[in-house]
Parts: sequence; C-alpha cells; structure tokens
Amino acid sequence: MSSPAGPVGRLRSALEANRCEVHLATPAELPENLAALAASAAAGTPVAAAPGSGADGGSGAEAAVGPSVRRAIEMLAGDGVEVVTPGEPAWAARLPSAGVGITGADAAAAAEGVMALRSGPTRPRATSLVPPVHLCVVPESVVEPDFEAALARALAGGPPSALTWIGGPSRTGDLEMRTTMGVHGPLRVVVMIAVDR
Amino acid sequence: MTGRVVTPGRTFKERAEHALANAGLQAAMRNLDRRLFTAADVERTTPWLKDRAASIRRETLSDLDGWLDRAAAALEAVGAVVHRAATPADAARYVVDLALREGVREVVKSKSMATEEIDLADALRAAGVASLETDLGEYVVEVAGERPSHMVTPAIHKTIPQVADLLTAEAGRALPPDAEVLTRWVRDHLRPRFLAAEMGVTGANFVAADTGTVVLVTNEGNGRLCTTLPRIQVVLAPVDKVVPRLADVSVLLPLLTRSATGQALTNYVTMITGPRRAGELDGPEQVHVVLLDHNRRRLLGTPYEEMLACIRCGACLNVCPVYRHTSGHAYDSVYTGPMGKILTPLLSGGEEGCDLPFASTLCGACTEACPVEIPLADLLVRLRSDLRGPGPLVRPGSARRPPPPSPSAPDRLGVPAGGPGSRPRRLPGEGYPWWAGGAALPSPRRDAPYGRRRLGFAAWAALWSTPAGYRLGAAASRAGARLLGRTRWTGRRVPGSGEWTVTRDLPLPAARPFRDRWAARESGVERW
Repeated sequence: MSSPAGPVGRLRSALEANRCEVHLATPAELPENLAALAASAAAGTPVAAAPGSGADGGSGAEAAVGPSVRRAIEMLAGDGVEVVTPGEPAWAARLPSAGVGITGADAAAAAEGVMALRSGPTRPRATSLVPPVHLCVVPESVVEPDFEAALARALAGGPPSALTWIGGPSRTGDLEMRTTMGVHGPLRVVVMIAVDR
Repeated sequence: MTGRVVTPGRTFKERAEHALANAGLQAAMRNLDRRLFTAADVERTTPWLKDRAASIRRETLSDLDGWLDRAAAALEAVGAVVHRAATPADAARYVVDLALREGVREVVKSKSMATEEIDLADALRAAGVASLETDLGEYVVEVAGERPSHMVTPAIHKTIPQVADLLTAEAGRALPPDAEVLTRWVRDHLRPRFLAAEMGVTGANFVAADTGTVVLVTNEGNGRLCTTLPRIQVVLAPVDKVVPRLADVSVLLPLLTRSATGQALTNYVTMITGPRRAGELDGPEQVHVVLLDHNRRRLLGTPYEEMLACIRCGACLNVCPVYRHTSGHAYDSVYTGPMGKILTPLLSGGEEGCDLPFASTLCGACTEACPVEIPLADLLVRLRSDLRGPGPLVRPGSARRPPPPSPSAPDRLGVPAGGPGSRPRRLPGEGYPWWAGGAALPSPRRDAPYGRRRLGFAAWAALWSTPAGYRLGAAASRAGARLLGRTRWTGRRVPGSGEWTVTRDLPLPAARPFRDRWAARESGVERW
C-alpha cells in the first residue's frame, strides 16, 4: 500500500481530520469491500447509487473505478439490497428513503482533505446530499497535492452545472462556536480510496 | 431599516450601554474568544495568501464595471438570467415578482448578508410568500425575530440554553440545552420543507467573470440543499463579489475560510454554473443572478473603494474590542463591527449609521486582521471627517482647504453625472457630495454640541498658533498645575472636561519650561 507521506496518505489523514471514515482498497478488493460497506451502512434501507457513465469531463475517475463500482452495485442487488439508480423513473421519489448514497469523486485535494464531485446526467447532486450516509470512491489517480491543483483537475472539460466540494460530514459552529455534527447534509461520510495496488 | 431591532436605543452609545448591562449577552460573547487568534494564525501559517488575494481584489476593482460586464455575459452564456439592481428595493422587487409569477409558496434561504441588505424575507412575506432561513444560526435568529449579529456566526449573541428555550417554543415540546439534540431537531424539522420548496435563495461568495460560476461556502449543507432541490434558484450577489477568473478562488477561498473559521476550506464548497443541463435529474431549472449595486459603484475612485475588496470573513469583528463587548445588535445595521461601521454610512449614502464610525478606539486591530489588507482604521478616521463635512469655520475659497469642485448635473444624492472616473480626489473632511444632506448626519449645522466643540477647538488652535498665545497658554497651565499642587493628574476626572478625562490622564506641564532652560543655556548661565 502507499506510504503515509505520499498523496494518498496525506489525503487519508486530512479526510480523517475532517471526520471522514477512510478505507483503502486495491482494484481486486474494491467491488466486494464497497458492497460490504454499503450494505452495513444502509442497514436494510435502499442504497442510492450514481456510479456515473463517462460524464466526468475528462477527470479520468470514471475509467478508473466505474466498472468496479458497477460491479459492487450488482453484488448489492444480488444480495437483495434495494438499489436506487438515476436511470429509473421514480428516482426523485425514492431517493429520500435511501440510507446510503454512493458516488465517485473526480478530484481530491490531499492537503485540505476535500473531494470534488461533478454533476452530470447520471450524477445527480442529491445522491451525495440527501441520504444520511455518503459513500465516496476516490481513485488514487485523481488525488492532487492541494486545492489549487484539484480545482484545475475538476474543471478539465469546463465547469459542470454543479461542482461540489465535500470535506466530511455536515457540521455547524453556530451554537456557542462549538463544532456540532450533522445539520443538513450527510451525518457520516465514508471514503473508499481506490489505490492502484 | 427593518423593525427587527433587539437592543433598544436611538444611538450606538445608548444601545452599547444596554448591551454591556446584559449579562446573558456578555456570557454569550465570551464564546467569540475562540476566534481571537484566527486571523493571526492566517498571517503566521499562510502569509502568501494575503498578498495574492489582495492583488486579485485590487485587479478586480481597477476595472469593476468591465469584470461585471464579462460576468453578466458569461452567466447568460451558461443559461442564467441576470438582473442588475441599482437599489435594494429594485432587487427585492425582482425576486418577489419572480416568486409570484412562478406561483412559489415557500422560499428556502441559505445564509446571505445581501438578502438582509435588501430585507428580502420581509418583502416576500409582505407579498404572501413564506420565507425560511435554513442556516442553523440564521434559523435561530429568525425564530427569535431578530437580525444576525455576526456575518459568519449569526447567533453568536445567544447561549445554548437561550436557543433551547426558543426552539422549545417552536417545537411545542421540551428540548434540552444540548447542541446535538437541538441541531438534530432543526435537521428533522427543516428537511420536509427543503423537499417541498420551489425556490432557493442564496448569496454568493464569489462570481467568476470568465465562466459565469457562482461559488458558495457552507458547513451545514443547507446551501447545497437550496441549490439542488428547488426548481428555481436565485443568487443575490452584490457587485463586489465578482472575481476575474474561477481559478482565482483557489486563493480567495482558502483565505476566506481560514480567516472566517480557521478551516483550510469549509466543509462544502458549491460551484454553480448555470441551471441543470440536458439529461440531469436535479438542480434548478432556472438560475437567476441579481447583481446588486446599492451605492457600491459610487465608491470607485474614492478612498472608500478599498471597502469593495472585503470578502466578508468577519475577522475584523472577531478582534474588535468594541464588537466583542457590544455584539452586533448595538450597531442596528446589517453589517456590524469595523467593516460595518464604514460600510453602513457608505451604502446608505449617509442616511444610516452615521454615528458608527465614531464608535471605535482606533486601536487598529481590524486593519491588522483584515486578510485583504483594507486600511479599516484609516478609513474610519477619514469617514469621521467626511461625515462632518466642511463646517462653518472653513471659509470657502481659503487656501488651506479649497471648496469641493461643483459637479455638473448631480443626481438626487449629488453624485456627478460623469461617473466614478470623473470624480476628483478630495482631502479628508471635504466629503463626497452624495452624503451631504443625510438626515442622521451629526453636522455642526444640525447638532449644537458638535458645533460648540468645533468652535472651542478652533479657539484653542488660534491661541496656540502664535508665540505670544503659546507663552500665555503655557504660563496659564503651569499656574494651574501649581494651584493644584501636583505634577501628575491621574485616575481622576478633570472638572469641566466633559468625558475627555474619563479614561484619559491629563498631562501636566513641566515645572520649568524649556524656553527658560534654553534662554539660560544661551546666556551662559547654565551649561548642558
């Protein structure tokens, strides 16, 4: 696996500092580990998945992990987990019932510990927002040293209608300036970094 | 402004006295100590961000109208509808008309000072459209019927038990004074309203002129919900939010979040480029961007142009000894603290908050904290002179202070027709013509105590300006000191000095004047 001082190691510690749960998986492990994480987090509720399909604007994320994510979704469905996908007609109505939303990330900044998600036809913004748990797959190939470089990567192919940067679970400092978790966005953010080997 | 005044009092001074006597408020304000060193940490850890950001802001201001035109064109190119609003009333009318035209019943709002500036929530409600603040602090403030007291942390003036009492009344069941429980209740209470809302209103932290992208920072996720679920999104962006390039936010954004909350970046950053595109399942079908001027472009070409560089991080509030004790409501203005003291009179054309620039110790902590290097303390001093304007003691045509050149065909507020570029620089105290005639202006003509003080200082200056007057004055003060039998006057008020010696010591003259010593040395009596 990668060293703690490398980009993946720094991303991991920055995300953990932002209160994400971070896991690493090799290409061989990825589908099975992802399916297991999603099933346990969903705890019987539907899983909303937006694996994307070539709409990543050239960030390379889709090619890197798309097939593995789709394989994980097939495994979930095979295990009897209800899966909500953007293609289906009742997507908008069913999304609020989902306990987990699975997305990929198109860029990540190791120094700041943030992940970028481009919107697109099979990448609705609500998948990473409405379910209480967000499960995000970050390919090692999109990890950049800092926000400036990650922004440039995320904008390759021009800005999407929505480019969302996520650091971790929803939080606020509005009550006596103490950090309180879980306001409007996901209560848990689980990150799966897909390492090359 | 609105009727949502919380701290009673006609002037800042009266309201500040109320605030200082409010033990609950003082307890709540101690929490701001957590941000006392936030700005200093930015200087220590990422000093290069300040220089780069300051230069980007100045580059923008050097051609603000040009960047605005480019931003408007880029926004329209990506399918957004752009409305340029000259006044707050114009901006509010546009949003209300849009809501009515689209049959919107409820608007969800993400935290935005610009919407406070135009009193949007009140305007919507007056038109029969419900309006809901969704940022936790803003929601608390809205439930309390108040106005945000801090632009980053709007409910800083409340303690958790006070918030629990407010939300208990709203919930109809007892909620404990526990941040986690209160936060979860707000989440559950607001979620159905998000899912049902037809219009989302947000501000903008930045608007990129090259791509037409609106950038929003939040920690809670309400900004994301407001830009994801409703079919119409309205962005209220004051003209100073424009940045030349989207790439510039990689400098401005970390500087903003580090200065505001100490975070390397906020938990969420949302970059919206137009409405949802073909095949997309969510995101607004319509994006409307209201570019609000409200007297901002009048400041171009004046020393106050610097205020348009402000990125609304709140760093100057967090370090201000006045703000930290009085809290925001004492200012009775949308923008509070040091930047609010300057911006409120400027944006209102001298109609509102004209006593605010005087509510400062001029300690300079704000200037030091400002991440985009706005000389706040200098502007406060200048504004004090300019708000007073040329008094009756300045003779028109005198060599020391020439009269302001008469502008050709000024508008209602007296701004020259030629636009910002045609305005000549002026000395402090000459003022800029558009705030002459403000109702709240404490001018020598309208306010007798100021007139008497001005007269007193003029007489004082005349006395000490001649050698004979100087000798006389010095002799009189020595005689006075001998009469009092002391060489120091500390810790006591001097009778007849008004408030000048409440917190200041009166310096007393040396027993033997320098003139005498010099004369003795020159005549050879003394050697030194």
